[in-house]
Amino acid sequence: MSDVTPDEILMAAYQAGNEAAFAELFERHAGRVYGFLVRRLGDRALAEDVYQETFLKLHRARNTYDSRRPFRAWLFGIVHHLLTDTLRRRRRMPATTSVEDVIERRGDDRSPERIVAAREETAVLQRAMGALSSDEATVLILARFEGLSYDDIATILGRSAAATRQLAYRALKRVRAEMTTSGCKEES
Amino acid sequence: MTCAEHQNWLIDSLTGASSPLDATAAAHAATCNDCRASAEELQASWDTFRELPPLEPPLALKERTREAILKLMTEERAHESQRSWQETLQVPLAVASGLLVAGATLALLSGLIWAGALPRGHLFFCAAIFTGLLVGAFSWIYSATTVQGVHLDVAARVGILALAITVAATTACPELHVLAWWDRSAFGQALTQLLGGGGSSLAFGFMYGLFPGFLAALFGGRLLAERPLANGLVAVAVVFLLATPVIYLQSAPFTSGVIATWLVGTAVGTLCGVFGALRVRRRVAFAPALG
Repeated sequence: MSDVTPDEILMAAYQAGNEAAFAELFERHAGRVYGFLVRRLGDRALAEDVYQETFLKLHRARNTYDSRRPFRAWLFGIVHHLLTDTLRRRRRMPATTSVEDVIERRGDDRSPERIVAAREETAVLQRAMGALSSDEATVLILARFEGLSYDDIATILGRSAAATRQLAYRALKRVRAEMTTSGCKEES
Repeated sequence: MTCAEHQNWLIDSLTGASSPLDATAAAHAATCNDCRASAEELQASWDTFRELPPLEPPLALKERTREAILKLMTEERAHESQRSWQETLQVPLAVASGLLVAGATLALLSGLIWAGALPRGHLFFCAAIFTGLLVGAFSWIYSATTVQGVHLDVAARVGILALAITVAATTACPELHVLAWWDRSAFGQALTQLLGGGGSSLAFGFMYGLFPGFLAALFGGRLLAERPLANGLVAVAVVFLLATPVIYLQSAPFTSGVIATWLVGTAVGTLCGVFGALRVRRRVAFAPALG
């Protein structure tokens, strides 16, 4: 049996002013939030601004959190809200993460050939992600990388669970199509 | 199993929400070429994401953010234990404001000020409304009523402060009917010429709501930033509700069109005033947090 304290219990302690509880929650989720933002915004400087704003907003809104709700869904609800505002302000659709940036930060110890191959695959995948609509990209990243359930993602996006599954289905199909097209182009 | 059901199962099986070895799904895929192709396609697409590496925030950014929140928590704790002057003064200020409003109402009722300027019916009606609203507002303040992060007590305190500012300003005005006084002023006349009677009273109403709303939320609006939209709207509603009897009291000489535009202007002015104050408060409170 796991002896890891659930996020919801830590959040209740954080609401009561426990600094250690906040530090633990932050440690658990800082990377997830950052990864999500970089992938969605494709701009590290902008992602860093929204990242800081997310945790400030979480702090300000901590008393509105209801511990019966999953913490991660609530956290990503805040992230999604700020992300939507940011995208609207910048009037730009989600771009993709700079490939060089991702590879650089990977600390890769593989052979140069494999790194080059991974770099190419990542570039194609990032381009494919860039072809998705804002909500499709969000569903895919939250389901694939954050392991959130479709019900939780539906709450975050303000859609039904069925519509969210439909978005995921369409997104995966589109990524596949884009990758096939890009792959063919690169091969030729 | 239908194709639509297979599609749902497929999406769930990728995340592990349903078993990938479902016999019904397998039976369907065996007979449906489209679904079988979709399954292979989606699985391949899903697997490709393994190539994307995890991303970690730069250490300096992580530290800076953590420190900012911990600093805020320390400050809040110090704030709580010291009970700042604002917090200490807010309830007495609300009580004093309530007394001022009650005193002004009684003075009007007894004919001590503006004797005979208003129909008695208006006075009694407004006195009854004020009594009800003040009892409601003070009960929220003293019971510290908060519903799902919406601080009704703070909204009531802001409402009473705004009402006191309005009553003090209208009592200090050389004429009871402040809109009539405004209409006769050079600025009011210029606006009436420019915008007509309705436009002028709309502009007057805007300022009538803007200043009390802004000042009251600025000095009494602590905690409203927690859920700024919901708390702000409730505060606006309370401020506007408490201002309406004063408007009604002073509305005797005017047409219903003028009163309606006055009310609309006041509502918009209150909205701008309260949210403007929240913005100012937020900047002051959080500007130093990120350094």
